[in-house]
Amino acid sequence: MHESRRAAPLTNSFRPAAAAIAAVSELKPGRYPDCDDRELYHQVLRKFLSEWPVSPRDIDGLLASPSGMAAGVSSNIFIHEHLGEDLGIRPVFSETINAGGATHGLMVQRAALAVAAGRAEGVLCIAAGSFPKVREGGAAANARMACHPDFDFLYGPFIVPLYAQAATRYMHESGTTKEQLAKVAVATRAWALQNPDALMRERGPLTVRDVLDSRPIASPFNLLDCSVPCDGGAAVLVASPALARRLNPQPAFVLGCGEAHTHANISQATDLIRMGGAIAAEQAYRMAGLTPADINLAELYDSFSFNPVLNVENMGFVPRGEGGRFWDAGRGAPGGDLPINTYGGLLSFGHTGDASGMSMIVEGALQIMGRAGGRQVAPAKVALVHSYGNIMSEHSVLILGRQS
Amino acid sequence: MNEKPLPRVTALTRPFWDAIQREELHLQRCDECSAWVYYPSAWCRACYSARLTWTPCAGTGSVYSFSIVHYPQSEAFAADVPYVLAIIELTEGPHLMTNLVNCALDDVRIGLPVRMSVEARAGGFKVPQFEPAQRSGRQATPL
Ligand SMILES: [Zn+2]
Repeated sequence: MHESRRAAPLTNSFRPAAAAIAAVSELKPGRYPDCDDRELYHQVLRKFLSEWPVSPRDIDGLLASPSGMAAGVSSNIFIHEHLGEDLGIRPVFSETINAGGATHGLMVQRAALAVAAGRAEGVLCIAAGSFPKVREGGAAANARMACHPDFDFLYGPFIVPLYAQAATRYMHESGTTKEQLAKVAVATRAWALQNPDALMRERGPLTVRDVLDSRPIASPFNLLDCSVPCDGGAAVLVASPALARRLNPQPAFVLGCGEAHTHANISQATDLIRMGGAIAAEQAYRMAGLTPADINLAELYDSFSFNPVLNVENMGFVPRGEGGRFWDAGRGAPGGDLPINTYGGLLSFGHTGDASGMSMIVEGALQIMGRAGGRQVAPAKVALVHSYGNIMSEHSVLILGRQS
Repeated sequence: MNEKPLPRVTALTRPFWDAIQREELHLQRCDECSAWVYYPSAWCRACYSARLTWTPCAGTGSVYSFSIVHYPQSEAFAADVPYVLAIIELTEGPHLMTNLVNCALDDVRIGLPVRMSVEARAGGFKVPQFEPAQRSGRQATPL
């Protein structure tokens, strides 16, 4: 396996803050049984257009993520064209793209690059998703894509035990305990209690004991170590600084971004400790001219409680092997010095399947904009947003900030 | 989905599966740089040579990582829970995902020495599995 040999010049063509997230809207996660796939995108669009002073005429780029991927089938990979037609616009920059949970981070990156290059002025990034019920065959259909269909797939894998391979190895090498994983779920629930939209808010606070006593799914994960499946969707407008300022007095500027792809099958990943997120984060810090110490808050894709343990390391916030201690010390919880997943995470806000990677971007942007309501953290000058797709195969890191 | 899955066997992968039917593990090895190659491939992943030779492996290795699965992926695996999904590091180096079979759950650990066995699926088609190299309480039978 060869690292790409091009290290330095990669980020030089993008000027930090040449584009900004001007506006974000997200559906309340839940079940939308009366909406077909297309109507769920329309719900997102209606919410977006009602919440922001945006006219479809401001939109000359449209990136969409396909729905249905979480169930192993995409209902329509031309959805970007349908949505453009439905909006009555004729974009000059548009496609449907997929990189699993990293799709939305990469959409923002692609949009920011296009805006910075003058290819578009306002790029709408949109996603709608439903998380299939595991019992309905979705787990097998999805696993057939998430690992080699003729080899790894023969042995009953699905998303939970595939992620568990990374967790088991990490825990073995670092001495991390199940209690430490549980503390991520507990801290994330505490954030969800402050978010009126979070799916698990009504359930009240969690304890480490609750997590350890919940039903085992695939070791080391119990039910409450896993994110909550639901439906939802979101839209994010990436705009030129001029358009962004017209729509929003405090946009979230894209200060840096990074991307890395390291494997397709978790069985073939050469390093289960320093994963692609670390490579993407290094790129993003270099582009932004910032270090991990400059980050005020982070939104880290948390399909499982383990992932923010690994990723506080991979993002450079703590040294190797100390992810568990970060959560022991409550550093990511409300009141901690580095708030993580301030909206309640996929663990307690909800995992919207094909749209899941939007939730942490929306929250990171809202925090920077100062629009996070009762859960607003201070200071919120610089936020890092990490998302990944497949079994931590593909990674996006965005650094968002107030300054232009 | 009531039967456990079988692979599609192609011209590229047939030598692998033919060897498994004889309860042997064969992987491709590069004639140029000696690297082992898995999955079956038309080129060496280390040096990109197309000169690869199917070569017998020892069929031994150790557990690199694992998960004990309590909730089955589908009906086909419902009778097996709890089952172990594992990444096996072969003695020759490559990593394979299989189940860990014939192993008490308390004995499952990273580093556990394992050896290949086979599981017969529909039509008697065999797929590779791994089991502890030393089976507890029973004399291990050689491959
Ligand atoms: Zn070679």
